[in-house]
Amino acid sequence: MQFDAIVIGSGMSGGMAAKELCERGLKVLVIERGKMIDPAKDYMDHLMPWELPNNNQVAEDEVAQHWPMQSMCYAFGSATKKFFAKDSEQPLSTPEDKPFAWIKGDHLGGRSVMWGRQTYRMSEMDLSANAKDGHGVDWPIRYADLAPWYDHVETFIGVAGSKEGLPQLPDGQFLPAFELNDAEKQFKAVVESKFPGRKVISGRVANLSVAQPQHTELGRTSCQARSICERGCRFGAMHSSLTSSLPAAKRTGNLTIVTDAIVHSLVQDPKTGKITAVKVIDAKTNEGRTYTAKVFFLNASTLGTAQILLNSANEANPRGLANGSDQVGRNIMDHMYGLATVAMFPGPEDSYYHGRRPTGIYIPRFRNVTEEGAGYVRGYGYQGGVFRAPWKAAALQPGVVGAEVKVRAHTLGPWIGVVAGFGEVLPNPDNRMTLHASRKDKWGIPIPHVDYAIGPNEKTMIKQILDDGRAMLEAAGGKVIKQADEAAMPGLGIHEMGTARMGLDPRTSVLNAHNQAHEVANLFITDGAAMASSGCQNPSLTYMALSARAADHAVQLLKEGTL
Amino acid sequence: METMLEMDRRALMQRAMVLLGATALAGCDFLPGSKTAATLRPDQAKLLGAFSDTLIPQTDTPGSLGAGVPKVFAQMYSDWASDKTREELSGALDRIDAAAVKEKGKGFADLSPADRQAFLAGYDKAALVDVPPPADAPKGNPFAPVISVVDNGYAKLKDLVATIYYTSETALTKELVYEHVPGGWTASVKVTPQTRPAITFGAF
Repeated sequence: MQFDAIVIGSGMSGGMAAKELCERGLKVLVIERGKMIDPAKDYMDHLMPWELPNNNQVAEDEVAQHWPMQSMCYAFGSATKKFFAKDSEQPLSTPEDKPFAWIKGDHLGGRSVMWGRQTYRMSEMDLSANAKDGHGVDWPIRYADLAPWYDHVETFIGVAGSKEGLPQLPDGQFLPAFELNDAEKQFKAVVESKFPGRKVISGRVANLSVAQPQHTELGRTSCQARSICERGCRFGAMHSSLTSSLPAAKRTGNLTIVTDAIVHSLVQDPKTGKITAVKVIDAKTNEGRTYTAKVFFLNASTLGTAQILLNSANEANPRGLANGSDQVGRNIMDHMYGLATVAMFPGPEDSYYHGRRPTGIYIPRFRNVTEEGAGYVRGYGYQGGVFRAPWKAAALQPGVVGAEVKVRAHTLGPWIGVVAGFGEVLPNPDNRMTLHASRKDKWGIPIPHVDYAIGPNEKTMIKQILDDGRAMLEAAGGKVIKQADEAAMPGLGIHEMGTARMGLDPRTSVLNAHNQAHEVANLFITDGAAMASSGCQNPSLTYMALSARAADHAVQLLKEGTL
Repeated sequence: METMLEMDRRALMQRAMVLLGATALAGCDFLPGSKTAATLRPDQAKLLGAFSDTLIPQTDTPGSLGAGVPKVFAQMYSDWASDKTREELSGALDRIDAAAVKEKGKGFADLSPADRQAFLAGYDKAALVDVPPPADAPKGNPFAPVISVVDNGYAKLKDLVATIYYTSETALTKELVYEHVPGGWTASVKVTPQTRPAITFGAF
């Protein structure tokens, strides 16, 4: 079969690119390296807690052998392990003293199936930050370029959120927000009155608080407040490639999907410089084959995309494909994560809530917006929540045994407040992925080697993330009981990005303003690799907006006959 | 580096193995490549029943035994736990028994329910006293703190037994609340004397 377009990767960005290309009439092949997932058979969201294998834990020896890195992800368990790539099969190399976690999907839909669903726009401030302070290269686009595509994607995926009118966190096309509980409303009132300019809002989330016709026609229904989203949602109440973008692509009749197909490299025509084919290794049989098309979208995830470009080196491009700038693999950024402060919170004793809300609170960035940062550029936002302490805290105190354990466990716990900062990381060319000089995976492909560390700007920022978190909780009467003292292992933000950045100048960037490779006219890259800076917002929405925008542009070029 | 506790535990295991003798050990079920029995010894299984029942007894609702905790524990001991965890768990059980013999002159399972309760309360309190973690211990984070107490194996045993109970169908229908499909989010509900906490997955 002849395809107009090939999309490599079926996750957050690949799913969206496929949908947009199919809806514009292109015959599209989606190539996924992982296994096929049939939600009806493979999701484990129907199991009761006592039915989950090993109490939703994976056998310890199996973790040690196959999942040492993946098991560090909060979403990893016996109900979800099928969604994670085995570290033993798809290893990552790092310097010994600079660990980096690569949390990786291995199935149709990729990480869109078990993502955290927090959904935020980047702002004009974010897209002009590089130009303003000189770090990295200037984005070739501004907010106005992205805004209509944010609208388009939000309407399709469904995002619950509240309109706040904040320039640093633009409003979008929102479904009704998930309401704050009474303790969170109390926290909001204190923070907003004692710290003018700061806001506590409902976490904007890609869960259907109220499903709309464009959702129900794809078989999706409103959120049932189960908050077991990472197992995959049979209600289709959260956006994932499996419930939204791929079904939308499929109904056009233009979509073909092939799974268990590992892209080895892209084949370039030396005369035209264009990609002509994708070389694939069958994950099960190790057999090689190729697929051809007119236009190619690379959505293999930030590290996977760079791995393919670097592994596609040829005579004319010994450094890798589309890499005249030597920027492929560089400028990795992953939001600083795990910078949490936990406090006992004096919430209303007579109030509780019902259901498991699939989001929490969000505190949009205020440093270097309404308040100056202490010796650093850029800033951070917080995710968190105020909730009733789970049974374990009170019930398992030393010396408490017998009936008293049960009394404590079934007594409503005190309120606990948590805020955890997500800090922006500057683009730094030395934070770099290369292909390992000698190690290859079981399919013979050189494994990625990541050399990454946060720099002085980030380290300075950490102190204020923790200080501000503590100050807000204490201002509301909270008593801090735990606080992180450093960011989690890099990579665990699971927001890695930047390995094929957009930019104006082909000498310093890989992609142009439409995510088209400067050096390869029919190659578009719209996953996290494209990001020229990280902002501090969860990035998936931006990847999807870039994907839809680039797909529209690619189809225009095809129609004009310029591709 | 081994902590004193780990060395003590190992020594204790070795002593226990010598006392049991090769014949008894040959009857245990070993997994391929493993040096640790994949199932509890019968005396440890009996002890686990007594421990679970004492930690979470029957009241107006079923306790650990009624909720089938020992069965799930035995399955996880075989299917989930690593050799290291099995040693920690079975070592913790052995230490409870040894302390009961020393203090009360009888194995823990042979004490009256009242004596078990009184003994375990004191034992539990002493075992869970915080101690500084070894210098090379993993750091942990606010959501997964590193446990460092006098008897880490005991902390693990207690946590596992209680966790199995509070994810059992019995506990989640009779002690706490679990709705698989709540149907929607209600941000504010008045607390009444009948209110019982609902379990959550993660923070929310």
